[in-house]
Amino acid sequence: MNSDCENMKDQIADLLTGNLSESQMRKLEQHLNECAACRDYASALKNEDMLLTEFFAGMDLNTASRQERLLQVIAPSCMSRQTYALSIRRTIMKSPITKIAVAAVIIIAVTLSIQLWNKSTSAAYAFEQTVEAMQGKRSFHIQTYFQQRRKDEFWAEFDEEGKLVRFRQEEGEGPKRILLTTWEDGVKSQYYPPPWGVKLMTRVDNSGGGLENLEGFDPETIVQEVHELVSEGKAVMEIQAPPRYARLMTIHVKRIDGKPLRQVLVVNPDTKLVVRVDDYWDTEDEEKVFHHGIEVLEYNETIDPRLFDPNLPEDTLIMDQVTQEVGMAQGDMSNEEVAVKIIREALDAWAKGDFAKAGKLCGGAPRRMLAEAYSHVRPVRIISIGEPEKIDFGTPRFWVPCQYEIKRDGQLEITNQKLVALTVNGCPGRWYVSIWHTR
Amino acid sequence: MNAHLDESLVRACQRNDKTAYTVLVQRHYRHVFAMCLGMLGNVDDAEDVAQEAMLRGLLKIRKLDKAGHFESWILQIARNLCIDFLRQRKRTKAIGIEQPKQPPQRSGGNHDLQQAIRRLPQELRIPLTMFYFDGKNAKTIARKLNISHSGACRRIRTARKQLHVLLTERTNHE
Repeated sequence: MNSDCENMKDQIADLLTGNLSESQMRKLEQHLNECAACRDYASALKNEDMLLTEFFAGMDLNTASRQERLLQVIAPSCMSRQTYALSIRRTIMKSPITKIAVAAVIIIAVTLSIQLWNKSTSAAYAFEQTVEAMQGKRSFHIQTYFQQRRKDEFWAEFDEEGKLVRFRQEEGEGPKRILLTTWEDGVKSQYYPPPWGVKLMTRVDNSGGGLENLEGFDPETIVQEVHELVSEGKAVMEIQAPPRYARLMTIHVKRIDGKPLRQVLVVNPDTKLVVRVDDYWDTEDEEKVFHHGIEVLEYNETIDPRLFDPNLPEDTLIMDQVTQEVGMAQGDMSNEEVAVKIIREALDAWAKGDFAKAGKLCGGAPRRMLAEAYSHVRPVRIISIGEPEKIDFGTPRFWVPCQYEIKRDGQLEITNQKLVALTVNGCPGRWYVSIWHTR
Repeated sequence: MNAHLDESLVRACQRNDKTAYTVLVQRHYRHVFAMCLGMLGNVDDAEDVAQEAMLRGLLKIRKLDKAGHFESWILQIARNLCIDFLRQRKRTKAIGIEQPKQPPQRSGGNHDLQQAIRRLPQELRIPLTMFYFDGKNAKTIARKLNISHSGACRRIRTARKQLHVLLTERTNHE
């Protein structure tokens, strides 16, 4: 450990929390290549980071049920009397302040619920109006949630017939974006920020619903599904009439076909558009409820075109699977056979330093990227390649367990990894090795 | 957070629209809970205080003048309740009242990690908890804690380094 190391410790902690500039990151990477003590420190912090993430995610599993208990206290008209009494009792047991607060809430809530009971569902509104309004949307910008935690952000534009023209997805939490995806004219571009700094371009035709990322979150699709389920008698819907001056109204949907799903849709009564959807999946453990949600931040606003064609850093490496032929043809081989063969050939090419061939087999990875990333490490011999394990996904893909000996900075070591072999999007019968999914 | 949406929801609440407050709960509960968890270091206490804060919010919302500032307002209520709770806990300990035995935490088997987090000073534990529990976004934490972005980053960094020391100490002693 040298004098730089103390400064580097700060940067290692910053790296894990995503608070490091690109130039600092490069300097740190260089230092880590040279300093074993800091590599160990970084590895320890990375492990702790995973532990912390898992630890808080474990606590988070109960957030939805905690929140629901609170909502039940606030909205007694939405639940059975028995559950209401239980959740109130738990609160009242705690402190005198809460006793007063809850007593007051009960009075307000009961008064309000009596008002609600006395109103019939707004005659001016039917869910079909929302189905129709959603069909007229030309663009949206939404935020998705998992366990009440912000996840991805989507922007999408549609033509007059409601067909998707382009979309953008920012995946990940807060500023720690792990992936930026855009799609237009049948080409999907995925940008992996540094340390990868790579843009992967693939051909994805959406005519058959190929953009699976978007579909689960499209509010129009959600509304149509709800409408169909209710029409088919698989779900029941309760529309809560808004009070006189309400700006929003809620629709509770409960599945009655055995699926443990409850949904809450928030609708703007003026536009009839859905502005928020929360899905709650009950589990066998009453304390645990899984939550997925979307919040529509904007409808039908003009979206800055630069969002769909972002300026990427100049040194971004392009993996182009659209204009160049990549991977290997399957020919007469079975899926399992081609998965093993392409991984063997990719490892062989890497061992020989043939980065052009390795890059082609690895889905169009530029030669320069592989040469730089693997300058200090190279396979010496393949010890074994195991039986491929099928990955449950739309298109064929396999984990392939591999054991091989590598030389890292002059030292020999044995490594075990599961590499992924999968088909090239839009090129039936061609396979490549993903260098993103290695584990 | 979309402050405009908050503003219209608060205005709706002030006009007796109960539904609007349920949407505010859906939007802000987890942040309030994360703040309480960071301050109190205990899931059950955090749940009780977060619930109490949201209920107080409902009772007092008519008095909220700056409707767009709901987030900072509800977090301030939660912070004050946490301070009261900690004071009360300290007082109870000081006069020697027998505390009921704490039930085991519902966070799985990470006892060492949990102990280490609890040993962090509060000014580090709060941002660390909010960071990992609430979306890993230092900018948002800075806004919620009313500190600068660089200040939030510095606290998270220091918390991570101190936590590493605490965890390593523990391992070395075993």
